[in-house]
Amino acid sequence: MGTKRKTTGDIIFTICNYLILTVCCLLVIFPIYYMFIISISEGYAVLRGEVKWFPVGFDLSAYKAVLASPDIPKAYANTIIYTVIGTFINVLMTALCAYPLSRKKFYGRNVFSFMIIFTMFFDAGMIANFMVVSSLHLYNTIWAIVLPGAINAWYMVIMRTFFQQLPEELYESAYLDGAGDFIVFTRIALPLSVPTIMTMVLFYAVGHWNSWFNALIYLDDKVKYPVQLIMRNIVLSGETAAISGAASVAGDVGIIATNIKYAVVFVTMLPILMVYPFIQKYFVKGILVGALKG
Amino acid sequence: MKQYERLKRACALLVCMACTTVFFAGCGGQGASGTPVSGTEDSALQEPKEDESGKLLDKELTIEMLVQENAYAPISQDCAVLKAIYDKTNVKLVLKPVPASDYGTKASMYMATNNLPDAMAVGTGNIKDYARSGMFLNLSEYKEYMPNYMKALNQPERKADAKSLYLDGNLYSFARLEKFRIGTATCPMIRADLLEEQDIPMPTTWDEFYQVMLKVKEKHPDMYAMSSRMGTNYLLGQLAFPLGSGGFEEFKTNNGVYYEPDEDKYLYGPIQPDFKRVVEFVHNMYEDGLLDPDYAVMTRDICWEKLSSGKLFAYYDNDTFAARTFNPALREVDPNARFEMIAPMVNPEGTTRSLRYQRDWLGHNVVISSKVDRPEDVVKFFDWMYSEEGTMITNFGVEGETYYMENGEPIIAPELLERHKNADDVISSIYSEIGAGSNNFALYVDESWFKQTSDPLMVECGERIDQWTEEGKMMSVRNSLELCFTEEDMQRLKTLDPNVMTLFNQEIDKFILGKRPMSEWDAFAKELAEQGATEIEEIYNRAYDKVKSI
Repeated sequence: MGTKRKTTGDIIFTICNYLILTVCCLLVIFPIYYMFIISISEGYAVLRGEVKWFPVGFDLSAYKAVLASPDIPKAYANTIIYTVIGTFINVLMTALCAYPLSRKKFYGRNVFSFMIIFTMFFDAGMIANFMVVSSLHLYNTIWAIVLPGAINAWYMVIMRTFFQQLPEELYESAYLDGAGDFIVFTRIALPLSVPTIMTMVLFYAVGHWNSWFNALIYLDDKVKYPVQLIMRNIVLSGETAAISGAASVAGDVGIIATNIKYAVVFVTMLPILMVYPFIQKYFVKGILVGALKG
Repeated sequence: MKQYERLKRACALLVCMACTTVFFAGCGGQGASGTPVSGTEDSALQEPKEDESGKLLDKELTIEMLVQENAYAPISQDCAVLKAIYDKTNVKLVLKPVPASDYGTKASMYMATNNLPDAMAVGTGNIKDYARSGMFLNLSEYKEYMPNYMKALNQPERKADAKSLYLDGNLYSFARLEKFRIGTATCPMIRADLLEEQDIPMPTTWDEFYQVMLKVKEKHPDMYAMSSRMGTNYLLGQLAFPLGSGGFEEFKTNNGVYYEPDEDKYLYGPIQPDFKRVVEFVHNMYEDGLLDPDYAVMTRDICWEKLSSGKLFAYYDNDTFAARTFNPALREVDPNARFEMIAPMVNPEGTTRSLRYQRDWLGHNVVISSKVDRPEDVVKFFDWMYSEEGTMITNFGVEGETYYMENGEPIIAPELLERHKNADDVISSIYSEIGAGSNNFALYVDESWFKQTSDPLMVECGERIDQWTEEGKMMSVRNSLELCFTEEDMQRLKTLDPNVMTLFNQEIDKFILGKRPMSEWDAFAKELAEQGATEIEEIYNRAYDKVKSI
């Protein structure tokens, strides 16, 4: 067959490759593993620093405490809603924006592209955004979370590039068969860009899942808070002396045990982590095609 | 044909844009029906109730208040305290909890966009930045409506510190004050079991303390005596005042200025001759292997790990940590192991003095928006929270329901205590359910309940701290003078502080680690003074003179 015999160089290269990749893997996996073993270890053993490689004791009370908290289940549901609706709007708007900009026939597309790309480098800042959101009466509604970032300029560029590299002949033949712009977009362009769309879904979904800042700024009611905002408060508790800088309950800020903090991180991280395997097969193709040929 | 194509495309684009606009407008409409940004009183819509003779206000009033929510104590709108407040005052207090981790950001956003809720807690610095713009209600104009608050502020033991709440002679905030708390202080704590092991008595002077540490170290060479949870300056700050000098006290690791009671003025600690003794003390600890070599880079978590696992045998920090955290962790391994408090010790000057945490929370200031419709009633309501009735309700809830009186002391209702007895932090858990205490919004804080639920050691330490305060061996840290600096002085401090601190931080560890000999200290102190430390002292004392004259 056409396979060449491997030279010593090839073998060394492969070994090095595996070694480096294994180290990289461990660097990623160990913190997650460590968080997990801390979260199931006994509180005082954690405090004494006895947990290094394996859990000490077995104690699920941290998880019980997290799941019994009145706010977390509600916040979890909010996060799922924001992620699903937000991602849907994101992908729809990004595709709707990217497609016309990818068509050479679209008059003035460079001007529009420039205007959009301009926002990647300059933006008006937090206060101005806040005022826009609040004067549009979006404040303290779900729309304040899902609308302001509906189109991410960078992802739009990736998508536009992807549409651009679809063969022009496909479009032409579709037009010849009598298809209009909308049909071409929905029947030709979209089905061919599943990898890119899935990549966008992943990017946007992870973004929504992890975001807390917009929720902090734009939401007022606790029942609307996403889980990340609650988690942040738990994880940072004791490290930020919020207003007075000093004493709270009995001379110092309140204490939340490390195992509870890590249980919260684990609980909030797990679902989005589980989305990856399903999207992964599209992932490499989606991002590479968009980026490299741009 | 081509023209037609173009027209068609233009039309499609227009339609597309129109759709988007409609879409957004639709969302906007939905948004408008949500809760408004800053609520105002909706009393006009409410019919006055028939039976309201006993209530504080005749007409119902809704007040929206931004409160800080700690992760360990979730805030609920549906709680006994809010209901009781409504019953007694006719005020519907609507709480807007914001995660404590980011409260500052959210509060700044409201202030920067001039979009305040009716009431919110802010830091002293915010008052300085925004009060002059007229955003907050000037409470000095409503003094006749707040007799309880003024009475609390003018109590003799608080009067001096409370003066620092005034900006240009005006009062803008309801500060969170302390009615009763278990005394807490940064204290020297030592492993009593290790002293018993060698029959060493508790030290009474700083020299003895040092000798005791040496003896324990001799017997346990693998242990260190002390470390610091927030770096070098934190450690120096805890030791400086008791050793006869001062600076960096409490959490002010970036501020060497302290109030010297002997001279009734502010001094810049590190440039005083006495400060050398403090640095020498720490330097000797390092040389003799008493100071944890990682002291300068320690995080709180690692420091606690070392204290709970027997790697350190002493600390100078918050006394409650022992009862709440270290002792239970140590006890699991060795039933006899425990930290105990050392009474304030005589320093080489022959005096005994130490610091306890600030009274009150003078940096926690509830401001009222100047846009509220019925300012007198809002002020009346917040003043009520300092009254006898208001204090009882905001701290303990409803008598017969959440607490009972026994020998003049409020006792937690047994069924309430039973429900929360397994919580990590019993009191926070109870507060959270009923909406009471400083975790929620109480402004005149009475923490008598802690006596009932805390570790007996903590209560005992608290009593000893109070006793030492009465004996004059302990004093509270003075409140910061932030509001009393002129704009010009404030700007000057912003330049001077970093200059002096950069120099100090660069060199201090060299002295402790012995890389610079102590003989060079005096020259170094002089250099600090020239860099601006002396001017900082002057600015503070100018502001202090102004406070004294109020």
